[in-house]
Amino acid sequence: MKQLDQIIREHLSAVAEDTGAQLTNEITPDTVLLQTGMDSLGFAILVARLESELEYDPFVIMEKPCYPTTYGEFLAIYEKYAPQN
Amino acid sequence: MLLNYLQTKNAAPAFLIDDEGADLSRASLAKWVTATRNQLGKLKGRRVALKSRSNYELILLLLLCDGWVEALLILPDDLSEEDIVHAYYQQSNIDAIISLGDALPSNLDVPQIEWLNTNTTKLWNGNNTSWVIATSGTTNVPKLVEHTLESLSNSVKLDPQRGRDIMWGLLYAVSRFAGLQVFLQSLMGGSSLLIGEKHEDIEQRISYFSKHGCNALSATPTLWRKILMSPSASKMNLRIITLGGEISNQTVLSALAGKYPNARIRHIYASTEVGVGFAVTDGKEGFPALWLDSPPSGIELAVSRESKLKIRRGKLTQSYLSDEVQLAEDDGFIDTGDLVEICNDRVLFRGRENGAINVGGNKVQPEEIESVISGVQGVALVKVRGITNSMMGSLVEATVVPRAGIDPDELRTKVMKRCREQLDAFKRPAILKMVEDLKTNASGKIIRN
Repeated sequence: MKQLDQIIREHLSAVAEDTGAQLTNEITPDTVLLQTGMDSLGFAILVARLESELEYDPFVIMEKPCYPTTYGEFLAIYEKYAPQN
Repeated sequence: MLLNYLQTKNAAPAFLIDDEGADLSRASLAKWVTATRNQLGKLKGRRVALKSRSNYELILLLLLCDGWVEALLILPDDLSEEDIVHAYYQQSNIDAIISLGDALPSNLDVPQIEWLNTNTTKLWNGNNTSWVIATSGTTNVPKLVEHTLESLSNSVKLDPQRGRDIMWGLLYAVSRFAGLQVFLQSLMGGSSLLIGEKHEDIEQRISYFSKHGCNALSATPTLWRKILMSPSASKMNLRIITLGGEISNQTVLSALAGKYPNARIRHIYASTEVGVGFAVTDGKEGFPALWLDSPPSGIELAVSRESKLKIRRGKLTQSYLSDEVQLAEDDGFIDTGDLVEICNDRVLFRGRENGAINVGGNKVQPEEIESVISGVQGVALVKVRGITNSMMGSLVEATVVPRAGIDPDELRTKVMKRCREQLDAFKRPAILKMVEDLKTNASGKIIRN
């Protein structure tokens, strides 16, 4: 099974291409999401496509809603709410 | 008139904070308005179009003109085609166009006036200036709606004792209904207003606002999500949070409540036609179903047989400028075109009746996208609809049926390429599904929802 990190990064690149966004060269866990080159529309699309593939949207199911600031926080939210198999 | 609110006792002495962080006091603005009116005597009682390059200039022009001219016309900033602009001038019987140029309160220049009609046979001598503003429109050309200061400010809280400690930040264009609300609330409520428009980047603007003590903001749910993702958001100590312009879902309301525990959070139902309909302050999405029987004061709410929300005001003072279209139905109700559903004790919003998709405040007609996609060779059928999204309210989803023998993956690439070439980013499908067939109704039309 592919790692979540890898899946998110693949979708991130595809969304960037579809929306015409220029992503920053390297995205590390500390990279601020709004400084990756992707705008809020891009993140909305990313969340929608991840939901199609992963079959969950953590921002809908989280009991205490919050929004991530960095890539590391974004990934952690997806890991935390991944369905337990 | 607005000038009176520059002279309110107990109000915050500084009203505008310009982009250099300099204060413009209420007293100095009142002095500027009076002096400028004296210099522009001929404009008194005329019908005037306000032409501004910035929110700052527009605010000054509004202070100058309200209560002094018969009508003021505010057109959207993005309306640049001259023919259309002049058609609006004609429709509103505009006598003159006023712009400030460099005639700012900091110097003694006189505003620039371009006269279209110098005939002075009739002269207005009233008190209530007509405010003519444009609807946000979908694919149509915006319609002009005629308001008064009273109909625009019916939800403004007038309490300078409390208001004087409030510092609003401006995130909307003042030429739009939502931006006017922020301007009117900060002026009439006795508060101060930070403009900050030179900071285009939201992170920079939020950082600028927090540095100057901003504690009240009004924005769309999409913009709020962006603010919540910005590192500077933690530096603000917000006391008033307003959401509007899109459906506010529970996720964004709860995230704001978690981040700003001291803030009063309200989501507003408003439109250029209705004015402010109502504000919901209980922190939950939608509004209480109880309001259909016992509504908040001043309005009545109803749900039509087609599940559309209708609103009636005791006294309706606004109207479309053109006589051909009526704003309200014969029974006084305004059909909002918003679809609602009653779920237990709440009335929840479900999108627009005409199928328009609201992508972060931009309205998208599905037909436009369908026509682009159906033009791609290999596409047999296409259906476009809005899907709800936790980050942006709604996004565009396209479902495509390929012609027999066409490879779906290759077609997907071609469709996305065509959309990139012909559509704005917010109109391109966020999700593109390839299916073998689409359901059609009895008349052969694709079932949209």
